[in-house]
Amino acid sequence: MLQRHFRALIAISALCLTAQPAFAQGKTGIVKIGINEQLSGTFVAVGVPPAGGVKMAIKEINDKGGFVVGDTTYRFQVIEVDNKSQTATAVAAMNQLVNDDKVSVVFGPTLGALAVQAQEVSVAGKVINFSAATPWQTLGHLSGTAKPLLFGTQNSLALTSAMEVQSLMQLGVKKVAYLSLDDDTTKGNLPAFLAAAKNAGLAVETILVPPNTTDWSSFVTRAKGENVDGIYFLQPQVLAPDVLRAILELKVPLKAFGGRALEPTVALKVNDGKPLPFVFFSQLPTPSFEYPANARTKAYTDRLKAFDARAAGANAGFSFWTYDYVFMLVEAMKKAGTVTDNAKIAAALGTITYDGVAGKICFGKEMRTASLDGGQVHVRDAKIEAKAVASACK
Amino acid sequence: MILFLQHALNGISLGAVYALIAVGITLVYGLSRIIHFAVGELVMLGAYVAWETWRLTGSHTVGLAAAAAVLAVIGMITERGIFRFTLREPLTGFIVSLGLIMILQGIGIEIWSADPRRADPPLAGSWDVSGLIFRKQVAINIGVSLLVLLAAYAVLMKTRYGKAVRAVADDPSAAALMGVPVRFIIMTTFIVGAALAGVGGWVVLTNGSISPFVGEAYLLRGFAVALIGGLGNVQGAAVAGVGMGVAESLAAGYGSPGWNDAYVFGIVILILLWRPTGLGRGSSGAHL
Repeated sequence: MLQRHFRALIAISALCLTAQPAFAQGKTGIVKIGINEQLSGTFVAVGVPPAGGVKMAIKEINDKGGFVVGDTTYRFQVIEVDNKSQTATAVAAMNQLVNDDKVSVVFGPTLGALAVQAQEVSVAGKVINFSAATPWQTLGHLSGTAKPLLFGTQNSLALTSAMEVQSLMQLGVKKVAYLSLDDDTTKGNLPAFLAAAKNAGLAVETILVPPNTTDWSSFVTRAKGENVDGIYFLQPQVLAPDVLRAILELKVPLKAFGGRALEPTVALKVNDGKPLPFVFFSQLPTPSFEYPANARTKAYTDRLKAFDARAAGANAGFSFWTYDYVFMLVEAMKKAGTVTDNAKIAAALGTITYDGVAGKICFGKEMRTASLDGGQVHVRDAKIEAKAVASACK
Repeated sequence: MILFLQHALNGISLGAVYALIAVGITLVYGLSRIIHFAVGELVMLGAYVAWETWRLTGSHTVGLAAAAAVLAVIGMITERGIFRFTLREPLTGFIVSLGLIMILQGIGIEIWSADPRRADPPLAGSWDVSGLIFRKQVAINIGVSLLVLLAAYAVLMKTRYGKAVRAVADDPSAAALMGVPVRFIIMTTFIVGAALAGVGGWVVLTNGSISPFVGEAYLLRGFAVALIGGLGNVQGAAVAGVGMGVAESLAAGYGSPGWNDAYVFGIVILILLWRPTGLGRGSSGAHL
């Protein structure tokens, strides 16, 4: 009997010696993080990569034994809910996460229309809510003191739009057609572009097209009729080849065609391999995996591919809107000395600069929207020229 | 003036697809009184069949033939497996077709994912005629659609089969007494309607990207065109299809493009208020 107890004692002692520091310190805890994303439905491509970024970060943190705040070691528990790309489901998902699952922090939804509705629940539940949704910026949710727990994980629209307008003007464009789907995402982005264009003296003809547009001829002809010398195409980016084909075949005389997060290789393929008769440019809202190549993002995407192949697809860059922010959240919890007082954690988040895979990340003082690395790509005479644009954080 | 003509030309291209779809809807309605709402999803399936065939063979011509043939088979399967059980209750058939939209879209997402797909255009470039630009592929698409519609019209008007179809449309009971195999004839309209949607899908693919949601854009328009042309009126559907395409293109060119659907369906409402059975004679009976 004694021998058996002695063996058990040795086993427990050995376990304590080999266990992670958390176990040695004795006190452990769980921090629940919710994910409310489009894991199915029309906008699945916008939801899977950000969800993958959160889950990979959580796994990496938990695999290292969690994180210590005060005298307690915490691990994250992730609760993921599919909002099916529908607003009502996104609100229900947020209700479940906040009120039933009692999470402290929610990532998503990334989709603007859903995020606008769902944040009402997270704000009421006093939960920290991260999202890249641009309407949060334009609706003023990220400034002032009314909704201090909402954090935008995408670069400031004002800054991005100013760079895009500057690019167009540097390419000699005097009047640009702003071509995009008529939806909440576009409406969230358009005001910043119009403001930047007005400041710079660039004339803009806004052409918003109905959802599910398959034939762009009428809209491109409209732009041609307005005598524009540049076309800015916001979204959906995957349809840029169709728009370019219509521009080429309808012989619209342009100096430049560009947009946000457009795939540069499109410019090499769309004209039967011949150079485009105008300059193509793409403003990248996150670091790129290729333009220019970056060892840090390369290592990241390799890890993401191994972790979640779906998240590492064509829109893998969207995972930059979540991955680093989980680590940043840990830093903020450590700095605030709490994992439960969200007001203190939010205040700490505003003071941190985190050096992550998306560069140096910090939140603005006047607007709680992040600054992270981006890039700019030009395609001239079938040659791709890319440069990184560093975040504004010190 | 050139700009106006350019918009009209763009509209004819759009309208060709609407006409193909509307003729299918109107044929099915003319004989079965079922409003086949899932026809937009048949366009989507046709586009994917054409895309898969193009990937395998590199040929758009084979893709066109495959889209029409495979969709014809799908049309037969849906009639034999589903719609024939609803022939006595056309409203049930209509509701079943609504369910089919969800099922076919789900199948599309499951097989091809939600990401858009595209094929290399069969014919790139354009002709410039005194400032009026004719996109080569668009010209081909209009030609193909016109040929298919003319062929459908010729079959309906000039063959024994067409005579049987018209007889069933006019009075199924009398046609049956005359020895016309009514159920078989009705089945063939589902086959022809689906094959026309398959051709429409090929046209959509050659114009640009496709996704499992591409049918949504054509569903309401195809149905609206069938209404304007007069349900059951093939010629009316063809003409109304082109008319709607031109109206839509002009609305995009001169109105607020975001309101395109509102303009187009506003016109549809006005026309139907003025002529409840459509511009062609419809609804009260088929006019094939």
